[in-house]
Amino acid sequence: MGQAENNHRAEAIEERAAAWLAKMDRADLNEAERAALEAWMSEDARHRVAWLRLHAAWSRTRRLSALKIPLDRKNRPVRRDGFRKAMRKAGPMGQAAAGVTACALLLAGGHFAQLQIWGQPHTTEVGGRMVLPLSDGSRVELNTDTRVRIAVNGLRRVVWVDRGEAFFSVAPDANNPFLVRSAGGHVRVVGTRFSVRRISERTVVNVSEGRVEVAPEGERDRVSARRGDRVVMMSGSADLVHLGGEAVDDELSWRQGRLLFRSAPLSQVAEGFNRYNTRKLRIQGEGVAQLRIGGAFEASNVISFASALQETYGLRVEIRDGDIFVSE
Amino acid sequence: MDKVQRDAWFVREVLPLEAALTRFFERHWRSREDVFDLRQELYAKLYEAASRNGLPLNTKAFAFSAARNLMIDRVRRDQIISIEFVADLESIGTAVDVSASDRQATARLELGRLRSALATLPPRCREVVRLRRIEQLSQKEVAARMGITEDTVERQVGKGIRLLADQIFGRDEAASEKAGGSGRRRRGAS
Repeated sequence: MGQAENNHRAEAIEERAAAWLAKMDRADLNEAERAALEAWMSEDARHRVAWLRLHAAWSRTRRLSALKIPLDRKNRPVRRDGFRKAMRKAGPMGQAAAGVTACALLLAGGHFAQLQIWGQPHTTEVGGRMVLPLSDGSRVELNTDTRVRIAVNGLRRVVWVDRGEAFFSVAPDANNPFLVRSAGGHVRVVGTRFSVRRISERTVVNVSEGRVEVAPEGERDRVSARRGDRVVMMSGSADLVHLGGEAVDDELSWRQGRLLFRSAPLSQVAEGFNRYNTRKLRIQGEGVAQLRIGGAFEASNVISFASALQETYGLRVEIRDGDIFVSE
Repeated sequence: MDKVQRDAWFVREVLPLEAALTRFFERHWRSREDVFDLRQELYAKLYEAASRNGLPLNTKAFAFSAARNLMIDRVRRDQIISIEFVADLESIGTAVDVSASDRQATARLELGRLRSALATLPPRCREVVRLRRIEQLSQKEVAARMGITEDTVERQVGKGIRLLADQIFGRDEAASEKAGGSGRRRRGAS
């Protein structure tokens, strides 16, 4: 094979890999298609590496969703105050660390030992909510299906978010920074109000008031966020988008037991409800899943939402095995 | 060691070397047009080697060494006797490309890079990717929004994926302003 033919073949392989990915991006592959893809990938290492490369690139572009501009009450794009990301080197963090180390030395009698900080666990069930006042005057509100561990005293203030979502109203104390640890890193504040939601390997921080520092694991630089900002943190990264104060407040409507959507696809709305209810909404059919829904709903009242779907959109709603099935 | 681990190794350790490997090929190979094929073959060889012998201890050194050998083999196989060329290749030795930036991509710049990559796409393709990835519409919704067929959207997504991969892997912080080192002739507009 001459080099020109080699080049053609290499291009053709990449085109084929891209075609497969685009097809998968459009809709899930059926059994036969998946088998064909596997066969194609196993045929030649070139096929496999071409696919891995394109798949890796396409996956990374998911992060672009952080740039999505939410809609305001009149369904217009929220005016963005610009894409802000203020970086700061660690500074006073050293102080807090010194405080913890000193404590360890005292406790271990001068022998440096790993200080195990134990946090008091608190959990909520699906659909549950809990408000926890803390000894320093701060308050933590737990959302549905959440587990946190709290270690707050005069020397240090740390909360771990193991699962779910919590809203923090932190009493100001410059000498004792408040840390929230979650997937991908931690959040550090002096006194402010914000929420932290853990979704598997990602943490989403919405700032309601004041200033918050987001410190992703593995990165020296911190991201500084203010009222109206949202930061998505994973190990090695933190992306900030300014949603605006109102939009952040909408995200926190769960504190009043409400879910707020502005033109979101039904599949997303169903996911939202399913966080708060053991009776799950199951949406069947691509067309139905893509229907746009807007409104404010009582999070725990999934039956009434399903009835509304039936009446407003003429959808078929059936209750089977305890769950609610919605179809055309 | 299973396929899943091997795939993960490939994405995690080999792909970040793409910009440096591309420059390496471009510097030492006679024709830029061939670089894309060379690179694909290199990737395949690295993958197969990992299959047979397990993951290398030093992926970067291994990759550059394999890249050099690949070029030498090709010259021999093609029987294009250019003595100076072969001698030149052999003199590269196993020295690793020192200009390659090794550290993981600085994450805080990632979103900025993705936005720049998006900006380099031809207009229609860019709009499709924007609606798909930023607005998070399904391909079907993108078709409706743009007034084109779903098949067209699928094609544009495929095109976008290829161009984006060149941008994402083909460039690094120190790279020149030339967009993406794909090592091949770029096709015309959308």
